[in-house]
Amino acid sequence: MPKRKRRLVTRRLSEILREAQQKRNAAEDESTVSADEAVNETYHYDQLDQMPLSASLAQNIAVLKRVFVDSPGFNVREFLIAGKIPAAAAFVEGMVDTLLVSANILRPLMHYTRDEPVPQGKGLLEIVQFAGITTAAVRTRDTIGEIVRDVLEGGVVLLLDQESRALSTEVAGFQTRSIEEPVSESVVRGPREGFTESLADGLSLVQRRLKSPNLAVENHFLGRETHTQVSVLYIKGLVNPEHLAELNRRLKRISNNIDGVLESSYLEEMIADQPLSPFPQALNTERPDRVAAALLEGRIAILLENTPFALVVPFEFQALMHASEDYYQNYWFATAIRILRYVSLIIALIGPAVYVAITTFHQEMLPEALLFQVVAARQGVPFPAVIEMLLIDYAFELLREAGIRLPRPVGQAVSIIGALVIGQAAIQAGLTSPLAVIIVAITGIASFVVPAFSMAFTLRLIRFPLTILGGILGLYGVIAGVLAIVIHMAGLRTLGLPYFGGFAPQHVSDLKDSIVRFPWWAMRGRPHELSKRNQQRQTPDLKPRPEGGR
Amino acid sequence: MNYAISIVLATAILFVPSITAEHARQDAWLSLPLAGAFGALVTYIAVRLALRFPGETVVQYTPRVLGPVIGKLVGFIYVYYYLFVAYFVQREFSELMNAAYLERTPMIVIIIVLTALAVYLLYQGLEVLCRVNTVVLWSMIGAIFLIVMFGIKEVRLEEFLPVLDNGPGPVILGAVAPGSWFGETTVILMLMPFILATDQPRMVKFNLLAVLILFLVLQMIVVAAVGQFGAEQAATKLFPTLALARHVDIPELPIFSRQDAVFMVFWVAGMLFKLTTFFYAGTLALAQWLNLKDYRPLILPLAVVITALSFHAWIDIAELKSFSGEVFPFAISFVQFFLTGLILAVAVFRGIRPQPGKGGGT
Amino acid sequence: MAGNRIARFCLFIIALLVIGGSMGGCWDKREAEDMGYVRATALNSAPSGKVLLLAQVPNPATFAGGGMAAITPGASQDAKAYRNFEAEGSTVFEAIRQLAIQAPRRLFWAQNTLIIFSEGLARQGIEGHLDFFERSVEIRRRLNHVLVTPNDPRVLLDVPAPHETVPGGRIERIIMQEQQTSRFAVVSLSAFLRMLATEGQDAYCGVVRAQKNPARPALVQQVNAPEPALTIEMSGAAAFRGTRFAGYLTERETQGLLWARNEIRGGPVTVPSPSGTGRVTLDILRGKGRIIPAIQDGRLLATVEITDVVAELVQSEAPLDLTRSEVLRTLEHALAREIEREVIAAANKSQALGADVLGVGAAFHRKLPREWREIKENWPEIFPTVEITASAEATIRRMGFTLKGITIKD
Repeated sequence: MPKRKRRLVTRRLSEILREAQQKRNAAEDESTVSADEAVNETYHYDQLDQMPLSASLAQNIAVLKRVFVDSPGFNVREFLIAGKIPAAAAFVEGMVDTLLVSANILRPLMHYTRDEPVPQGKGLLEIVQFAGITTAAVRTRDTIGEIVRDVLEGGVVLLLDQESRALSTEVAGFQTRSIEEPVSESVVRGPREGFTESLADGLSLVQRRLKSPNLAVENHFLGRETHTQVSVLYIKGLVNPEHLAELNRRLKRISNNIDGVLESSYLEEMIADQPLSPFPQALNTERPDRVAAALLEGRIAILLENTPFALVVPFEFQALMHASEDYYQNYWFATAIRILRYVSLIIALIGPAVYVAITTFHQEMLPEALLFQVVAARQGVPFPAVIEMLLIDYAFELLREAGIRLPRPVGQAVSIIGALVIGQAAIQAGLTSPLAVIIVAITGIASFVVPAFSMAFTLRLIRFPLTILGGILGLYGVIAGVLAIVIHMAGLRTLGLPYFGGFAPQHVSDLKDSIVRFPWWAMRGRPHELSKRNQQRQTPDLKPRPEGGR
Repeated sequence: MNYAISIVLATAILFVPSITAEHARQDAWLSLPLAGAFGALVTYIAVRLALRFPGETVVQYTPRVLGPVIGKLVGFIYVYYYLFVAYFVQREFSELMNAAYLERTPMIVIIIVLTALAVYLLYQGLEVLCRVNTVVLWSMIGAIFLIVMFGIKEVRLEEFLPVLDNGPGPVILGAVAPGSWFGETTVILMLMPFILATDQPRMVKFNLLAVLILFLVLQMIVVAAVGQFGAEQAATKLFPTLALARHVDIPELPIFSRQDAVFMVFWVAGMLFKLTTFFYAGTLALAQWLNLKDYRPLILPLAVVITALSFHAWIDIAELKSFSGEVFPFAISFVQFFLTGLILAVAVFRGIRPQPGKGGGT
Repeated sequence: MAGNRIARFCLFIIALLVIGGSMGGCWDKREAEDMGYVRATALNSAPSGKVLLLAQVPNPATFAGGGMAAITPGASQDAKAYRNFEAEGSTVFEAIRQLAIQAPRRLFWAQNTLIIFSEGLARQGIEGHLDFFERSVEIRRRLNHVLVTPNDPRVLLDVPAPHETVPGGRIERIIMQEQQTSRFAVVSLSAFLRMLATEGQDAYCGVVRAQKNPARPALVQQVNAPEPALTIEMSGAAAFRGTRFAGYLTERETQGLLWARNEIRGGPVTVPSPSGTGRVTLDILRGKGRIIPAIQDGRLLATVEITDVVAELVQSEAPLDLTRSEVLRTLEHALAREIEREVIAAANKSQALGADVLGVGAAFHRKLPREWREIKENWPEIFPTVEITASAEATIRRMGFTLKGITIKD
């Protein structure tokens, strides 16, 4: 490099720096606020989105610094492109991979050595975008709001002098959990990948299963403060557009009117059709394969940042009783397991209630030998059967809750001690009858068989009023309670889809995947109410048969 | 279709076998085809009439068919008919519950629980009613089928001999009660506007099929009751179907003995639907009769009214039973058959068509 | 709007439950352990003309297995397995409520399976007493057996036994063995009521007796745990004329009755051996019976037709060569004749008692309804004059594992 040129550079550099310093001071003067004011000043995206970038780098930096005045880790790295044009990179420490930033953004720009001169102002942005930085994704931004958003999501935003646009790149480098087996839905056979808290990972997990250009995503940002990205996934051509429009309408209604969305349950409650119902109104799952299967049926999946639980809407009640493994195991076995689950559902719901009803109202229903056992066991128990049942059931819930919240080794100890010691001691002391303990234990185990935890919670809850009803009116009370529940459930909808879809309104072909599971070659159609436009799942004659045979 | 079956079934299975057996004795099984034929005729007339005005209920078009004054009057008869059946159901239901399961529980509690469920269902609307119904109906038929199957070994065919001992008279008399029960499918007059326009043309077929299934189920019960108890015993039973359920005994599987409370469970569900359907029809009819836009405000007041009526209309169960054998069939047959036929005849004669813009379903 | 309404409605329901519950609720609640489960009911006539009711209530604590007895307070090994309560009342229900002054538990009749009438009471007529059992919500008609006993029910229901300690349970178990013998009638309350109601049919029921125990050793003192002095047995049938006891049928007559009633499900029949010496015993597997009425020249005829009898050869005292089919034919013929004799014996007894337990009148009613209308009024007088004949057909299907019987060297 010739000597003259280097001198020129040196001269310009000091000049430029001085100039920049002056501008910055001016800008800061303009926007200086007292400390008190800064604390009280709040910003919201709808307001920030109205603020365009100015052409002055100093001005922009000042605004950003003011917005992020007390933000943890906010950083503006100022530098010169090719040693002469002032620029700044804004990012949050800890959210970006600093190695990537220096290697892909700072180094190529600061060492910019191409022959053609770098233009000031117009054209600079394009040069930087196309010939400068080397990160994969680059977007142009026009407003402060967009920049703030990108920075907080782990992006690096490049601000250029004399340019009212900024460049945003993705170099997120925060720590995320690696993909693991989903805890709440483990399988013996089937994929072992579960969603993580990273939305990008989640999307990629789904995309890997549906390598189709028809897989579509619509992003929403929900929460005034959390600004959580919510991705609505569906397959074009399969999804019912009415469902999609309805979901989008409901999400829009929430958008910035809520403070934060930290978990999918926030959304589940906010988009429910029947807000007062204790029943789950969105299916939550950790499994990408389950989401993929749901998408193929024409449902919509909602993935959120920062939670491994995705939502699937709309869905029918029966989906709560299905586990993804049902589809990976032999269909005879899967059918048997599903029947088992429905039986457990009934036990978990009315087990204690029926026990109370039968032992206090309908003793004749018990065969003599069993009846005498019940009577002998209850001899000397000081509580009526209803109270006894409620107490033990309550104690059981107590143990369960204690076991969940405590650290794992302690938790196990608590449940074992609780179950063994308290149960045995209570029986010995004549406080309860062994039969009641057995009933409660069976009920508890049955509620674990229900694959959807959200449903199991509901069952645990409803069981108590049903038990009381059983104690007041016997089986009449129980059936009245169950009917009330059935009526309630029949009135439920998810995104307008009836909860009992398949059974009522009845579509016989939908019952192929209900209490029974038909083999894959027989499941030709998609759920009737879901995918009205594209009913056929596969060609009809897929049943395997010998070569050349009939 | 499901609908029609379940509403009739729920109460019909309660008394019909004994009412029929009382008249026709061992020929009760012959009465039912007669009753079924009558029921099919009534159903056919009702569906024809309903289809003539597919977008309206009977209360809405009678004033146009029969003239404003008589039409309103007839409309009110329908309103009363539906509510009447509703409180009849309430009383019937609670009488059995009181007699068989909850002897000391005040009848008012039993009625209120059932009525509260009905009110809840009514607020949810007709669609939910239909959905719940589909879920429960088949389990109910299944339960009856099981009860009959469990007792089939006990059925003695010689109980049905001699055939036509006392001539055809008693057989026809025995057919009156079940015939009127079959005719309860006329509730379709209130429901037609809510049936999908695409399904409406098939309603004739559906309803007749419903009558057929109903006939088969009732026949099953009558045969089982007469065959197991003998005609004389079947006639004196207050609740023959309950007696059948109480009769189940498989010595090899004692766990199945004394399980009649399970039968009660299915039967409660059936009664609920019947009550709700007629209550719904009555409430809707009254709302339309009064030209109200929404029937919902009427639900609670009417619930109170029919509950009170169900208490005061009959003194005791004996009166209730003789009423359901001697008065009820004729009273409701009058509405179902005569009135409905009359409206249809007048409508055809005068050539009255539905008002433009009101055709088709929702 | 809708949600609000539902919420209000839910509140309404909850309020209702709370009010209902607090107003004393649980009207029909009865704790399982507070009840006494009556196993057997016996009715006897009291000298005062009232009815004596004996209810047998087992003590559940003595039945509980699995170490429960140790935990349950108050239960010890040697506690009596049941208690009998007796009370007198002008009606059955009066007596039942009278029991409440001595029974510490609410007596519950749903588990009751035996309704035992003493012979004396049965002679006076049981219509009024039966009405209670028919009407009762707790009593299951088909699960209850109607029985008559010639003994004092107090003795009958207190006959001790080391196993199946509750006499009521013991009778029930014996009844379940009916198919093995067909020597006694088993009639459920439902069947009994049906017979009472059917035109041209008189009722019958089983008979239970307390007998001297033949298995009791002579030297009782020298035996550690001797057999009890009395034992319970079911034998024969009791015939009713209307609702009044008319007389007993012997075991043989009872078997004939069961043939005619098409109630035979098993039981042994012994016939003389075709070889001339000894006897052959055949075990009935199944068979059908029906009564065919006829009117010939003004005479009433009834043929009891026993068809499709299938039997198994179970014992032959003398060796039989069953490889020759005519031996079997002879045996079958002998069996058929024996069955006919049994039926005739039953018919003769019932005609002698004037109780149409076979249902001859009912057969006339069904087959010849027009003629029946004329004889219906005077049936009690006509019945003894009906000529009852029997015709049976039998086949022997099985003969165990030998063809010839024990071969003894000459």
